[in-house]
Amino acid sequence: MSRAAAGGVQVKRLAVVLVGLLAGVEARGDEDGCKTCVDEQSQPEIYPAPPTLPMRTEPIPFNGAPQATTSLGDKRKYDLLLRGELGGVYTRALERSFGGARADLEVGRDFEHFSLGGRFGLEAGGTQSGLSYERISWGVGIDGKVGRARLGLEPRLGVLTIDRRSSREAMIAATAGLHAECIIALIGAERPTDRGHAALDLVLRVGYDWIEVDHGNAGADRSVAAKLGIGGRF
Amino acid sequence: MRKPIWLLVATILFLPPLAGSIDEREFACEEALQHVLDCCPDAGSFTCGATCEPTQTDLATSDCLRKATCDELRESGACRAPLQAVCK
Repeated sequence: MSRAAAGGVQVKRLAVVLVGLLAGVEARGDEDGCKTCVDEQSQPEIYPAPPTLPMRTEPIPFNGAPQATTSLGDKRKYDLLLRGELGGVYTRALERSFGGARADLEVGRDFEHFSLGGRFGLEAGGTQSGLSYERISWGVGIDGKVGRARLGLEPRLGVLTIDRRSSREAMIAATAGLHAECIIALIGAERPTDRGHAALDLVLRVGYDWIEVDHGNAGADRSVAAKLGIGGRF
Repeated sequence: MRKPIWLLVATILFLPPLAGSIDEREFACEEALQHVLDCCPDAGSFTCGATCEPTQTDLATSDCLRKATCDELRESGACRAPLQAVCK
């Protein structure tokens, strides 16, 4: 082998070594870069990924429209209260006896241990001597549940009209009173866990009312009323 | 939005006092008249309003007329002139 050929071989080997060295340096540089990337990716996550929810495969059964009445698992703590009531009333007022029939309507909420509702009542009848009278009243009823009974109070406002015999005009007076009541469920459940069930009630109510009466000077006259009725709750 | 609710509450609370009061004498008079007319359908009319003072009975007369029986009213002449009859 000539000296020139030997030199060329050495140059080639040197070139190969250089290329190999350069390739190694570059490879190490990539490793460093990847290491940097890994370091950056290993930063703590601020928002962790949400947990995966189990997929429901069977169809959800349709049980009709949402029910207004509560069940044991329901979050609602009350039901709609709708009560109607028919009965008779005896009132002692203005030193006379009044007797009549009445109808009451209550709309409110029936909670687990008590009920609260607005009430509207109409009453019509006659006085001891036969003068006819009418009374419109409204108020709030608050009842607590004690077994099958409901015990409550009912503050009421009203307007009493007594028809004259001598003319077609009526005598009109304002009334305000407080009534106590006992409502006993004759038919239908009345347990705290069975709220919202319809029931037929026996209603006993006694009350004390003030009636605006002019005795010469403006004043009020007291009256006592006793009511007995049958009510329906829905 | 709350104004109508308060108006409704105020109306409910203040409507009864606006109704006024019943005059005790008028009520007693109307009761007496009712009783007299029940016993004496042909009795002459008389009024119990404050605008007809001459024919309005006082409390005592009204109570007397109201408590009298129909026979007492007829025999005393109260069916013809309630004010001048049995309760004079």
